[in-house]
Amino acid sequence: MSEMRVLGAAVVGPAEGEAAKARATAFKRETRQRYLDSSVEAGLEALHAAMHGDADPGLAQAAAAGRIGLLLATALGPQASRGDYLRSYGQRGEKSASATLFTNCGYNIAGAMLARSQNIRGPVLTFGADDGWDRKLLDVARRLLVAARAEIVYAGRIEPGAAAIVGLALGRGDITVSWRLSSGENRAAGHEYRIETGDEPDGEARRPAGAEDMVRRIAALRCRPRVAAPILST
Amino acid sequence: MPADAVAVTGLGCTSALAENAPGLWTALLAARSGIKPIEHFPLDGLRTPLAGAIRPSPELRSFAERERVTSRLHVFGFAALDEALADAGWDAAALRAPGTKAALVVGTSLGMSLVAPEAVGERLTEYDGDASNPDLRALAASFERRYSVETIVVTTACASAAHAAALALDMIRCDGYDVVVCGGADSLDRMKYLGHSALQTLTEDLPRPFSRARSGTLFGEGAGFLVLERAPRAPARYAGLAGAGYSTDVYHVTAPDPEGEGGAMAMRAALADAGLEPEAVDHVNLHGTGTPLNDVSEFKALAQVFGARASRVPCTSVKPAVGHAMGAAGVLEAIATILAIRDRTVPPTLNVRADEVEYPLDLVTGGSRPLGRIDCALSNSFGFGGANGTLVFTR
Repeated sequence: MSEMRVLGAAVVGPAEGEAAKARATAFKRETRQRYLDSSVEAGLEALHAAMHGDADPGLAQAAAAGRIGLLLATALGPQASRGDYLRSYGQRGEKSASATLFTNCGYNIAGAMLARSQNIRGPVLTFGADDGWDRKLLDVARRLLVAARAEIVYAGRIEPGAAAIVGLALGRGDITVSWRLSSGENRAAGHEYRIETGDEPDGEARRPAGAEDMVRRIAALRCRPRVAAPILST
Repeated sequence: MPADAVAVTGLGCTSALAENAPGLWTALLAARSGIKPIEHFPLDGLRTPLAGAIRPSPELRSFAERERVTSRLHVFGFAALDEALADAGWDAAALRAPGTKAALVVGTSLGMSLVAPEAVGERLTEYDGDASNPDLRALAASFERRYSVETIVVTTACASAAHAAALALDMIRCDGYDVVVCGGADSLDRMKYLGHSALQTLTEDLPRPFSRARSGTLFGEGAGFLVLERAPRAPARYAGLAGAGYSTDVYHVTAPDPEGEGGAMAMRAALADAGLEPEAVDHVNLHGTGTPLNDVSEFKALAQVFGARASRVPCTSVKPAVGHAMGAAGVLEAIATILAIRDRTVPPTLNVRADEVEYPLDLVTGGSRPLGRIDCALSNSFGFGGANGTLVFTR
């Protein structure tokens, strides 16, 4: 129980903008959504790539049964919807208050949309992306898996125009995230994570990952050809 | 208390009914309402002038001044958190003592005020000095700065506080935390209420959950926190948190699954997590918003989980008394659930007569109802985006 394997991962940024828009358009058509915040577009594409990159036929079944979870961290959330909602009021007064824009001001609406796109019925949670967000996200993912609240957890970060998502399950894989409890007096500091890959040069197979940009680094390892420029710098 | 339960050792809240947990409980049992005309922002264009608004007492104002707290969310949140810690015999210094593994999990729906003066051309109301920062990092940092412990901010609309407690439960069970303080905080402002007015979730009447005459909800504001500790280390001063369940509707942004599948999944998951069967449940604190769609969905969820027994489990909604406090709703209701277990008494659902309940439920109406036994109770929280959370509390 001390390791998680990486099942799939994707980073989507401006370079994947066209693909993200096409997927968002299809999603809107299927679900009859009139509106999507721009932060959702990259997320839809990233989750699709992360889930189908693994080509596991059991994923859809697991999602419908509530055995898949989705964890997203965000700092700015639905910035475009919030801006439009407030600007519209500022310019035209209270009668212009839009129910659609207001609804999409919710920080968790992006996660809800992503969950709906893949029929994920398990835990879908959105977190504030403060310092150490990646370590905290991995902590929550690990606890959901260990507590058997989900068999697979997709975890990542979503910001306007960019998203990075990795799929995790307990056990070892080509890329493995391992952890150990911080030792000694500093027990309260939590867990130290390491990323292990099979394709690193000798002597570098185990890379201490610290707490910085963990999810982005995992995603970058898993899908090197697709890695966009640093996109999660907000 | 099941072996895997964690102990609830402290409670604290700020609500439209009272600015502390004992006051909230006394008012709920006395069937008092905290719904009142809004005074802290202009009412033009709103569907209703009523809400579960907090009019800060002189003591709370003095607290805000002394602590130099400049946003409503923080005034409510810090006051509630300080109360919960003191109630459990902790303080901020003890939380960060060497060898103590402690954390804080804060739920919120829309975070700080939606009123951005540069965008809407309006001055902020009192305690909104730095409130228009929508960056969630600022919210997390503000709590972490004050309490100096690892802080997680979770935002799942009106299920936020229930999810905060669920996360805290796993931190203690799976990761050896000694104490996790969990709950939620939200404030009401003009832009949030205009949005709810546009959505037409607000009633122009009063909230009447599960009544044939129901026509919507009234929102509110506030904060609440629970102190959770590992059971072996602490006697259950109030109750045990024995289980938690999550689910997602994947149905609609604002409307719940009309068949209640998501709500049922959350309740089943919570009971399974607690190792209990539905027959063990003596009381349900409902999400109970009073909107036509929410209530029918929750009734169908209850019917799926409890079968014919759904009509015999005493249940209640405290939202007509405190308003729908969004990200804080789940913890205010958790506090009511915990104290119902302690006192074996269920507070009433206000504004509803027994003969007008639309569904076969044992909705407690009129006045509070003493019960011979409440050993196990559920608290439901269902939010926009189809976010569902259920908590199981035990004696």
